[in-house]
Amino acid sequence: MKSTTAIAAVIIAVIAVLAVVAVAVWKPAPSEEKVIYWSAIAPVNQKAAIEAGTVDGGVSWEPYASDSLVAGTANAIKWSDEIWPHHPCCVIAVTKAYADQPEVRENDLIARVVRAHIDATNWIVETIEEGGDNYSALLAMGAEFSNRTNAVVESAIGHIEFGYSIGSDTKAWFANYTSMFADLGQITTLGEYANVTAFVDGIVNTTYLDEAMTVEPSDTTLGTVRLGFLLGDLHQFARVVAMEESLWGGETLFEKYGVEIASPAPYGNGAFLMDGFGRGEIDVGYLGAPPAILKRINANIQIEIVSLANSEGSAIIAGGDITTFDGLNGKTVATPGPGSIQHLLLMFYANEQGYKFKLKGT
Amino acid sequence: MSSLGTRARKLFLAAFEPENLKILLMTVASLIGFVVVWWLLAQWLGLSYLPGPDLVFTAFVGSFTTVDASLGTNMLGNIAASLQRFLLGFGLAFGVAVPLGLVMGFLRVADRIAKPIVEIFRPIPPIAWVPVFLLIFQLFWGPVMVIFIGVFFPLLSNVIFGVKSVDPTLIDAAKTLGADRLRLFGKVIFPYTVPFLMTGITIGLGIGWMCIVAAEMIGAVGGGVGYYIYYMSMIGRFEYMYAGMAVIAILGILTVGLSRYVERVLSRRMGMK
Repeated sequence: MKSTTAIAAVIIAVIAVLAVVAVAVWKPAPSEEKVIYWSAIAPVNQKAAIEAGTVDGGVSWEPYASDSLVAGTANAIKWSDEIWPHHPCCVIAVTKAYADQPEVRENDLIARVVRAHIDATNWIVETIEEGGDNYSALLAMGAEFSNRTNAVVESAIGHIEFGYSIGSDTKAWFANYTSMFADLGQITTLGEYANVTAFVDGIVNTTYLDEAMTVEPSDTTLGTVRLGFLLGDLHQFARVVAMEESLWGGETLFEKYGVEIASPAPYGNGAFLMDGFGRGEIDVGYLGAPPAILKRINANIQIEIVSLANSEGSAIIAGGDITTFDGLNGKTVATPGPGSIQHLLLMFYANEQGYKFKLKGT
Repeated sequence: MSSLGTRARKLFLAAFEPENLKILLMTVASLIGFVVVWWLLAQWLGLSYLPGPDLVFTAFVGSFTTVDASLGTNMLGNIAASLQRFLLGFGLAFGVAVPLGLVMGFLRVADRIAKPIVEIFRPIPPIAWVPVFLLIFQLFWGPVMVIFIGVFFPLLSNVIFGVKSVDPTLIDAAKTLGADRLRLFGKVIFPYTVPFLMTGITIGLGIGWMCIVAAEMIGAVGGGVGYYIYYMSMIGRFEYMYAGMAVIAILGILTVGLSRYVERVLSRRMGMK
């Protein structure tokens, strides 16, 4: 009798499990509606996920889009410049607490970091135009930093606009991103700011860009900056180039302008980098504009955007035989997550093409 | 019906017995103290990532009443998604660990063959499997398998321990009475193992919920409470992140409480307690 009870309990448990399995494997009849499903998978994992058939496509920043394209495991469906021409992506941000320190102000440390970034950006742009030995060196630097091949880096930088200036068009894009986040309910307040324009004016500070053009190289170290950046992200190539001593006479570009750089381990994404700002780990950081906007508002992390790092440089790609966006109808596309520019890009384009944009499984 | 009513009345009255009343009051005081300390810390520190209990409570309610525009679902949808993969992961772990544990505990040769493999995989944290399970088992089953791994080993260990703990005099008595190996297993060893199995289930349930965030961190189909927590932390909506954590806590308490109840009932019915 006693063992019968135990066996009955096990049988009931097994029946319950089978019932759950049945519910799990049951699939509703395919819908006629045009829909693109999304699933959050980090860009670094998207190539393998597409190859394995876990997802049908992906949207990511470089070098991860080119990584799949060069390997031949995915096709480019749309580059971000085809959807949003010249849209800003990564920026340089600085904590207000650091920028307001007297010694930082006296020594123009932020302007000096920005100047090194400007010089590095100009060098990248000229090198891409001119080619030659420097171009080979650029590819090698990118390959080492991103842990990808020269071919992947070459494909990637062909789709990234490197820059630094922040004009009214850039600010309009920031306002656009902010409005999209508000529409998605990811932000519900702008804090002390009356509207989106005032918010963008409040978080963008272009004075350092102006000051940067007046700073001179320094023979002495004027201060140390803890500089954060994202793991392998080629949008932030200027930092890599500025740190390459062999290009600048045995010192980094930051050192040339009197700034010693102390970087912690790279961050996995912009949200984590913003948390690094919040914990006081870093003073300055390269990150995507959307996480900077989101966490400036939601987590009240007091940062200012002081320079652009790049525009464009993202792509919607698809595996297998899919070569058009319509081929992704009813399929699943990996995105870095709803707080990213790539997610906004895919959502925007899907909606523009008449598709619903839904989380896989909803 | 009337007997149920009588039992409920008895339980209600039992709560007011001096010893139980003391426990009840201490529990309530502990919870109130926790909320007050939390509120004071939130007020004092003023950190965005430590919102007060009032904000978290409002977010908790809001997460059920409002559909998140990005996820396309509310907290109930997330709970359903998490429960589905939790039950599947747990069910699979149960289905594999119980028979394997019984065999490993009962047959020395099976133990010697399986133990090295089990010992290799046991120390690997479930989160380490997340990326590779996503590729091997794909979007739906990948997160399920992460929970499976989390639940499997504690369940297996307890079943093996249960089988090996059977009182040798019971085995000798059964053999003396003429029981063959099958009857010995069915009439003595398996019933004796059930309380250990239930302890393994209780531990496994707790660990299963601990694995849910790791399991849902990437590619979770239909969302899930774990993904909700991760997503809210990514966009800095910390009050909603804590609301998601509270939901996990409640689900954990409910499932572990149910397991302990079943454990008590089974033990009583089987004469173990």
